[in-house]
Amino acid sequence: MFSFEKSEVERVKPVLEKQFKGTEDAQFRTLSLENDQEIELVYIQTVIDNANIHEQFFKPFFEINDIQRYESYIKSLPNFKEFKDEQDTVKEILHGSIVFLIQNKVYMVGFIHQENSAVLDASVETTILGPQKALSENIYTNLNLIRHRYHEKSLKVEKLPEIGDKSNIQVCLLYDEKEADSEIVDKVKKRVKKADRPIVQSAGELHRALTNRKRRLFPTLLVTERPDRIAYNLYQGKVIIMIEGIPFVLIGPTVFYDFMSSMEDFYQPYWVSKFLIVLRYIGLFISLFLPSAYVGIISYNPEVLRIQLAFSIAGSRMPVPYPSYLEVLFMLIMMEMLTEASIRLPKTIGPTATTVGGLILGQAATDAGLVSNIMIIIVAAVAISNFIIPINEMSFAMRVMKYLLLIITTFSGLIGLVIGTVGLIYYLVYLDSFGKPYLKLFTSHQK
Amino acid sequence: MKNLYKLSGLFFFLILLLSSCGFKDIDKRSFVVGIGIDQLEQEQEGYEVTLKMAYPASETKELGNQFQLISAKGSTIAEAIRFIKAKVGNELDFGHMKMIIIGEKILTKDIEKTMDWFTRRRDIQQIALLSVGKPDAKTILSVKPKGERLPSNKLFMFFDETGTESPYVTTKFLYEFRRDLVERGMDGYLPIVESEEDNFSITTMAVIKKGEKPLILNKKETKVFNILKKSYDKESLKVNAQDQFFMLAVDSLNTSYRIKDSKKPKIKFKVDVEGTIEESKVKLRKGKLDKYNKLTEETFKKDIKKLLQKFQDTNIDPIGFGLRYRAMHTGPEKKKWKNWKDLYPEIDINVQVNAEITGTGIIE
Repeated sequence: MFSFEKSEVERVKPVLEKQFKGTEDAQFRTLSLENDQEIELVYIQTVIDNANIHEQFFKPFFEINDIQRYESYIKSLPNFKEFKDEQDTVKEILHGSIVFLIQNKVYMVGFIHQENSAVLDASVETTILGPQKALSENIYTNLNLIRHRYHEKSLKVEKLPEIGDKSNIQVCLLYDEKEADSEIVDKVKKRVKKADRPIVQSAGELHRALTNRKRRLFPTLLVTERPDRIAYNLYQGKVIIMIEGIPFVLIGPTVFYDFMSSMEDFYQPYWVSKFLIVLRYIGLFISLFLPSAYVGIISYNPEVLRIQLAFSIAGSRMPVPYPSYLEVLFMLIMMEMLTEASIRLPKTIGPTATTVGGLILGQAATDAGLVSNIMIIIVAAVAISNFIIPINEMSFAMRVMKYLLLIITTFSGLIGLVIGTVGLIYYLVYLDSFGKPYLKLFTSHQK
Repeated sequence: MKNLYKLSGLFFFLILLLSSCGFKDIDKRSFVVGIGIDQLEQEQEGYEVTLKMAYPASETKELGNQFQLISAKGSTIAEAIRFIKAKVGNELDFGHMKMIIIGEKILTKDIEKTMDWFTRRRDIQQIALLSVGKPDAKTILSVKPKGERLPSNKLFMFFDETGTESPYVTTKFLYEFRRDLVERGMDGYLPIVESEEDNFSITTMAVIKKGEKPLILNKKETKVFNILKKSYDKESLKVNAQDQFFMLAVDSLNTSYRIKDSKKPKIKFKVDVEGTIEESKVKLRKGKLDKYNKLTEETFKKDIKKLLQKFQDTNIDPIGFGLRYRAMHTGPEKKKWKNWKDLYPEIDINVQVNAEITGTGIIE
C-alpha cells in the first residue's frame, strides 16, 4: 500500500513544511513526554476550533502520558481520518483538520470551526404563517435543518467534487432516492463536475455555471432560502444542490409555475391560496404588459378604450411634449433606479431615497408636464405588481422582459405586443431545466 | 446559432413592417364623436357633412363641454370629409364615432347610397348608433345639454341603454340598419331626435323602406312598436275604458307571433303582460282584477292591431314578418318572395293579449 522506502511522516512532513511554513496562522506544534517521545501537530489556527484544542488534545496527551494509548485515543475520536496521500492531507488541513504525526504514522482529526452557523431569519421569501427561519451559511447546519424537516431513510446526501479552482467550495447533492429521477441526478452530477469557474460564491453564480446556455434571462433553477420549500421539493422528486457558505440552495429541475408559487400557498385555506395564485398571475401580466399596452393603445389604437377613458387619457397627456414611448421609458427607468437604489443603499438612508424619489416621480413630474397622470398610475401598478412574483430571480427576469415587449410595441402597435407575447411563450417553451420542459404549468408528481 | 441570430433579425425586421395605422399619439388626434349628414338645399346631389369633434381638457375636474362643429359641403360624403380634414390640424379619428345623425330630408332620398360610405370605411365602428335629426342633423349636433361631461355623451346614454331606458326610444346600430336595407322581408327603422332648447327629445321614429317615403310613427305608435319588436318591458300602459282609468306598470312582457299557413294564411300575434297598477283615478278593488285584466287586454289589443294594420296598408314590414315567412318555407327564393309580396297586403292579423295584473299596488 505505501512505499517501503519512506514512512508516511517522511513523505508528508516536507510537503507540509513547504506549503505552510510561511503562513502566519499555520501551526507546527511538538509535544514531548518525559521519556523524550514526541508527537507533532500541524493545523491552521484560523479554521479550527481554537478554544477547545487544549481541552481536547493537549491535556489528554499529558494525562495519558503514553504514545500508544494516545494514538488509540486519537483513533477513537468521531472525526478521525486515515492518511491517504500528501495532497489529501494538504486539503484536509485547509478544511479544518489537525494533522497528527505520531512516530511514523499520520492521522487526521477534523476539528473544524465555522463562524457562520447561525440560522438566519427568512428575509427574501417571507411568509406570514410558515416557518420563520431560513438556512444558515454552514452546510452542515443546513443539512441538520433539512433532515429535521424530512425524516426519510431514502434521503441521500452526496458530496460532489469541490467547485472553483481557487475557492474550493464544497457542494452537496440532496435528493430523495425513492422520488427523484436517477437520470436527472446523474445529469446534475455531470453538470456540477463540468462547471469550471475559479470562484463560486453564490447560488446564482453556480446556476450560471450549471446551465449550458451562456446568455440566460429566465431562471431555470430555483434559488431558495426556505427549508420548508426544500423539504417539499425533495418530496416532489427534485434535486437540491447545497453550497458551502451560502444561505441559499439550488433546486432543479423546475417548471415556470415553481417560480410563481409561494410556500404560503400551502399554509392558507384552499380558496385563499387559489385567490393568491390568481392575484400573482394578474400581477405578472400587469407588470409585463401594461407599459407596452399603454403605448400600443395610446399611439396606435385608441378606439380600444371606451370614449370616456380615452378622453381623460388624452386630456392628461396634453401638456406632455414627448411621444408616449419616451414618456413610458422615462418613467420606467426612473422607477427602476428607485428600486435599485433602495436595494443598494445602506438600510439607514434607504427610506429617505424612496421618499424623495417617490415624491419626485409622483407629483413633480406631472406638475412639470413631463408625464401624464395616467402614466404615474401605470408605473406604480407595474412596480408594485412586479414585486408580487414570489421568487426574486423571476421578478428580475420579468422586469427586463417588459422592455423587450415595449420596444416591439413601440414599433408595431398592439399587433407587435401580440407577436411579442407569442414570441415570449415560444421562448419559454423552448427552455428546459435539466432536460425537463420548463413551461409546464403544473408539475405532475411522478412516481 | 449564427442562423438563429439571422432569423431573429429577420423576424424583428418583419415586425417593423407590421406598423399598422402608424404611430400617432392620442393627444395628436381629434376624436370625432358624432357625424351629421344633411342634404344640400339648392343642389340636387351632394351633402353637407358636419363633424362634432371633442376636445379633451387637461384638467380632469373641468372636463366638459368642449367641442367644435366643422361642416363642409361636397358631392359625396368622402369629399366633404376631405375638405374638413383640411380645416383640422390633428389627425381625424373616427374610432370613437358612436353617433350618426341623418338629416330628415335625406330620408326621402336614396338612403342606401348615403349609408354606403359608413359601411366601407374600416375605422368606423359598426356599433355606431343611428338616428334621424329633425329638422336637420347639424341642429342636433350643436345642442349643448347641461351636465354633459363629454360631448355627445347624453345621446349615447339615450341609445345604448346605459343611461335612461324609455319606451319611446328605439335603438338602431349601424350594422343592423345596413342589414335591414339589404334584407328582403324586413324594413329598417330609425329613431327621430328633436332638439328642445338645450335638450333632446326622442319620442318618435321613422320606418324606412328602400326607395319609398318613410313612414313616421307618432308617440303612441312608437311605444307600441317597441313593445312588439323588442318585448320592451320597462313600460306603463294606460287603460281608459268603462269609467276606469288606471296605469299598469309592466313587470314582464312577452311577445311572439306565428304565421299560420292554412288555406287562409294569417299572422297570430300573442302578447303576455304581467304587472301591477301604478296610478289610478278611480277606486280599484282587488276582487275585480279579472275585470281590469279584460279591460287591459281590450285596450292593448286595439292599439296593436291598429299599428299592424297601418304597416300592412302602407306595405311596410319593420317587424320582419316577411323574413319569418321566408325562413319557414321551402322552395325557390324568388317564388317565396313573390308569394309573400302578394300575401302581405291581404293577410289576416290576429292579435291576442293576455294580461295578468298581480295587484292593485295597495294593501287593502
